[in-house]
Amino acid sequence: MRARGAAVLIALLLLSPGLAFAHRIDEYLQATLLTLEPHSLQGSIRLVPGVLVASDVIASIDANGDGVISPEEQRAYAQQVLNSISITLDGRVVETKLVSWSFPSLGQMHDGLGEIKINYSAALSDGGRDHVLLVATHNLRQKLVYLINLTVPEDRSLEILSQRRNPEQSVYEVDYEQKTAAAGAYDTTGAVVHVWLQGIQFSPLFHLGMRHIAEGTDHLLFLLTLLLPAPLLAINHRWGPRLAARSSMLRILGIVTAFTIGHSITLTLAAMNVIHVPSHPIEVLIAVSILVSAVHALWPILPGREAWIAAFFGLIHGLAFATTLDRLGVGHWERVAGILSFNLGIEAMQMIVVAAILPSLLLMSRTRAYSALRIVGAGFAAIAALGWTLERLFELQLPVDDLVNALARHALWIATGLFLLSLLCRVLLPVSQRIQRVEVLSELSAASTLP
Amino acid sequence: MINSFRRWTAIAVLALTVVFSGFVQAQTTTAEVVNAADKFLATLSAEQRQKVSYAFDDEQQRARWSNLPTGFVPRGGISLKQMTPVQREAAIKLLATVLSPMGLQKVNEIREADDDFKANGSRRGPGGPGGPPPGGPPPNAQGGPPPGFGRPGGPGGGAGQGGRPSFSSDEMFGSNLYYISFLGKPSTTTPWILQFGGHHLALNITIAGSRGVLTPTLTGAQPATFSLDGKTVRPLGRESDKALALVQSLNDSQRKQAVLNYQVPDLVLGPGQDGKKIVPEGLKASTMTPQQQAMLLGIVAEWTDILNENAAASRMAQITADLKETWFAWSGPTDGKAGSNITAYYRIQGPHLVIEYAPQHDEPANHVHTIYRDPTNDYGTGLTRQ
Repeated sequence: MRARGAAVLIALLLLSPGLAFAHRIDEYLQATLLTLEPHSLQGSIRLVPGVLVASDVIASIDANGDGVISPEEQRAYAQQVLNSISITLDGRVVETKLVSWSFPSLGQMHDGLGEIKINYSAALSDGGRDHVLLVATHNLRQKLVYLINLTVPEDRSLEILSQRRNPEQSVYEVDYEQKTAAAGAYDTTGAVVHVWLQGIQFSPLFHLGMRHIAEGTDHLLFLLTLLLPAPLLAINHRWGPRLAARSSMLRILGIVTAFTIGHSITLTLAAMNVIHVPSHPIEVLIAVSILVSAVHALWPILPGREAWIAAFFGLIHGLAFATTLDRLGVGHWERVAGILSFNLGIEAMQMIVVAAILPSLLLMSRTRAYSALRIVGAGFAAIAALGWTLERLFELQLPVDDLVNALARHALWIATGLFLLSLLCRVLLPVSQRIQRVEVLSELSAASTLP
Repeated sequence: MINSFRRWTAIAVLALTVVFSGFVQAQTTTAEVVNAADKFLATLSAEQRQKVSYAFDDEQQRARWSNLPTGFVPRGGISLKQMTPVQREAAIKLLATVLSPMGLQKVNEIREADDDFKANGSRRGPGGPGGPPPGGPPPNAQGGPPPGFGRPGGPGGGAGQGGRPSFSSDEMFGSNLYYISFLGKPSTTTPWILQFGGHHLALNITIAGSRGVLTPTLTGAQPATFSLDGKTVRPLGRESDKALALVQSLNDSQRKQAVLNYQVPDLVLGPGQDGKKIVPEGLKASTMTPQQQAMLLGIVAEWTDILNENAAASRMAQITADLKETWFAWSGPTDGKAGSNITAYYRIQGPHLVIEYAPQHDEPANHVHTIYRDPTNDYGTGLTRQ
């Protein structure tokens, strides 16, 4: 078929020199598609020798002239083509590397139908935001015509600003911007931090973290229940007088921080695939953790050790967070950045909730009504926790989720109502007894031994 | 009260009828196409039928198309030449059902151009001095070829005035060397592809339920202007005229953006370049006047309207919705006038669209290749994945 095609073609050329053919004739087309990634460039070249330049091209490929294009000659020609291309990034020379190449049959090439394909890659150095990439081809022996284009980058962090070419398209220049690098590795820590701070807050994982806390009522219930007795001092296994506002604040801060440290450790370990824990026992332990903090809010079982409880159970809650975090990327840095985004989302939501509830706790704790709040709150948490424990342990269907979610749906109203109620109590009720400063200090020293 | 109830009932019935008949209409068209396809297949012998049938996901057959003559790049399926008159009639009937009248005419004119090429050769072959084609202006009437499209040194001198190839060109050129093939079984529900093509033509029509997709499709012509039965025929003439009108309607600052400073010697996303997206260049349609935008859509319609009305309308709605993100780029001279083919290259590109019009350097005004793609939906991949 090929041989016949060539024969027909040559016959037509001889008989009818004026006949034009439906394909390239005396040109050698070099068509390049560039693919840009944050740290590399891929070039894909198609070389199409026209029928009248084919023999000349074949001669330069078949270096020893034996009529056969050996694998060595293919490689040498591909390298020769690559050597004719010079690439610079921001004025610095970029090394290119042959990736693959394929050659058509000699018959196809003689017919002017052959397409030589050469793929190369180049590593692009890291760092910086604005870049200029230049790809210039120095003519091979034959008369070349060029096409060069850039494919739309898959990586959204790369934005193409402008492209320039000389009239022949043998010199091509592109300005681009590397907006964030959450998807790639960087070697300078400064660049990492800079880029992360920019990228993290826009990350979908950040929002996932926030949503996980907002919707994962068990995590919040644990923390809030643990905060309930925070403004109080335990005396003789009973919750007694209130602490000064400053001490209460410090204690709440300590509890929240301890919880954060705890869950961050296990979340990171699990998300990096260092530890694997089945999710079912974790869910049961989380329900138990709420029960423990509820009991503690009713009777001080571990007075002054709330931070330790928070840290310990934080480790368990972190494992649960990790199970929702299955959409991390594959790259090492990508995962780390993803975990950080997710964790910051969790922290942000936690802060919002604590900030919303803190003023009420502090105000109310100055009145006798606080005991009522503490007991009702802890009682509710204890019932929910018991329900969850039974549900998760024996795979029962109890209306616990419905109950808690019904309350959670009105969280904003409850928080507002609680604040108004605490204001009301503060105005109407006499201020409760306050502990002596000396005792506070000894109490504080116990509370401040955080993990 | 009763009056109002009756009125609302009437309106509701009317609305339902309109909606339902629209639905039935869309269904009928696919059913008609399937019917025509089945009728054609029924005329074939078992051996022929096997030859035209491929699996829906046959990647090799999907990509087996080209601008080149079928003698160089063999197509799948069977050609009109290999058919009996009855089979040929059924094949043309199928095309007439799936294509619009305009689309069928375009396809026929491309085939007629190949007949003309077979009979007369190129009027201005490389190297031959040649004369202007009869009944048409000289190819370089528009101020010469774009930068770099210099007259090539040709294969010897000789008589440029279209020597008549005396042998073997029967296997190379002519309006009967166009092949038909099917990927998947014609169906009103499951997707299938109808391919029809040869030299300078490749229609890849994916039909998925009531939807029809024409991408990727290649049209081309050499000669791009010829006379047949005393009439001047330009198979891709409107593609040339409409684009020229748009570029000439641009003001200086628009033109500065639209007209590229470099030559584009060929299609960037021609055969074999399925699904690729390049960074768009030129003038963004959002900076055009409403009138210019309408002109741009008018150019696009030369490709979208190849398919029958139903498929064309939904495709045009998509492209219209993308208009703000659509680009128009031009390379080559902007002078010239309607009626003679441009020697310039142009590209229209949007989120779901690539159109390229690429004059070939051997005869820039008389030899053109075009490509029509949806990088997100070549062979209906975007539809069939849903």
